[in-house]
Amino acid sequence: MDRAAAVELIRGLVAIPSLSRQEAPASAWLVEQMRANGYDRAFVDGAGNAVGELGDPSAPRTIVLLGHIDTVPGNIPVRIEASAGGDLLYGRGSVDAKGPLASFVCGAARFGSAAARAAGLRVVVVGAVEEEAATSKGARFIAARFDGVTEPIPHACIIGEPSHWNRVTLGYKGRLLLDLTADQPMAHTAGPDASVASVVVDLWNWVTAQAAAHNRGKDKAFDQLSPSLRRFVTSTNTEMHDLVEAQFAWRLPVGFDAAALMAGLRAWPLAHLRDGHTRFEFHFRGEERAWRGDRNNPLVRSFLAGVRTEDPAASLGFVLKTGTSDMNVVAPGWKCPIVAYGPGDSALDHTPNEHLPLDEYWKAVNVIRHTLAAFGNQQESNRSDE
Amino acid sequence: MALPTATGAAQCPECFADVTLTKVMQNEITQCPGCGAELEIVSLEPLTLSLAPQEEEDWGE
Repeated sequence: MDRAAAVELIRGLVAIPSLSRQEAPASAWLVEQMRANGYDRAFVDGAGNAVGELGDPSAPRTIVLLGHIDTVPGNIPVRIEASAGGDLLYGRGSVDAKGPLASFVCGAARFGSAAARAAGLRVVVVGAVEEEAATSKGARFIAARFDGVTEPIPHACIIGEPSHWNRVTLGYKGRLLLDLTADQPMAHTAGPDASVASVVVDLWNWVTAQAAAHNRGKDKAFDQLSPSLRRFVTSTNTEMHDLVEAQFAWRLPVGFDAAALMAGLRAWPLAHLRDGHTRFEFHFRGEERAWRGDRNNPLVRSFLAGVRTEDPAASLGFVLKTGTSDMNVVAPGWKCPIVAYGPGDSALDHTPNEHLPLDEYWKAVNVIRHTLAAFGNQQESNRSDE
Repeated sequence: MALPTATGAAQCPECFADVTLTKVMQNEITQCPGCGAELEIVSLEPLTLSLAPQEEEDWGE
């Protein structure tokens, strides 16, 4: 597969709309591309993911390249525009994350079936569905497939997310969402009782105080507990109750005890409200654990070799991200070497100006090829620490 | 086939001290015992160290 074919693949993939839960046409098209470009097996799996595999199905080692094929809404006309820095591909998903996914598909195709077999490696490329929907349906399906019973846990995993072609993402913060409702009987505003709004503000102040205590001495955002107030709506219902509907969200650091936080929130009304006439309903959802991979493992070494092979003068970097990705879904169960990688500037994610420099995309295609080659060479270690 | 490793000494590019290395692999990351700089093994023959890639924070996804 040459550069022109790789560019045509990403242009074609970006041109097919694939909002979350509407990925079927894009998945079917990508599977056809995989078949046409030498994949040994390519199919749409039970979740709707596009899956392509290279190498023997029973190879001693498996590496999963887990990108996502869905995008957020936004109609950006698909086009290639010339710029001083080279051609730019505009389109929804060009950065988040069809660029990374296409670089996986093309990089693995350039690595090839014969090289995979020679290295005793099975390369599984996945365009997962519903990453942007917070259900992560596609990634959960893949996590269940490679659960150590149905199929062996992978030896390594690369998540497809943009961080520029020369940077490797080592970790993502976790996440917790809370939808809460508080209500209490209406009372005169001149009376002695606190309004339900001020009660919920007190709860929010407790949340921020808890975070400040946890964050004391922690300078990096990745290590901090980061709460945000997403919604706060007051109303009065027909049963003469004042209501607050609010949403709190947290970005969680590695190792954070989310269960203790949830228990503390549930216990807060009893511990802090004397009169007991405010009723709370808490609905927690979207919990994902933070994950941070280490830097001394065969996958990271292979990436460093891959980037340096593509450009010996490249300035390499590691990244820790304060968002979440499918890494949070698969890493806690697999506990294998894992990174996220992909071309593009994540500051353009979800924006009307989303575009991908095609020179950078082609470099990423080749980094994936070189990285798979380096990983394939690391068949055995003569050290006892791995 | 075992992965190639190397044992020997190389100069820290930060403090210029000799760093003793035992059975290190290509692209492995280690730390200078003198100045604490994080270093990457960029060559096994000859053993060569460079500053390891920096760790940055970013939002996204």
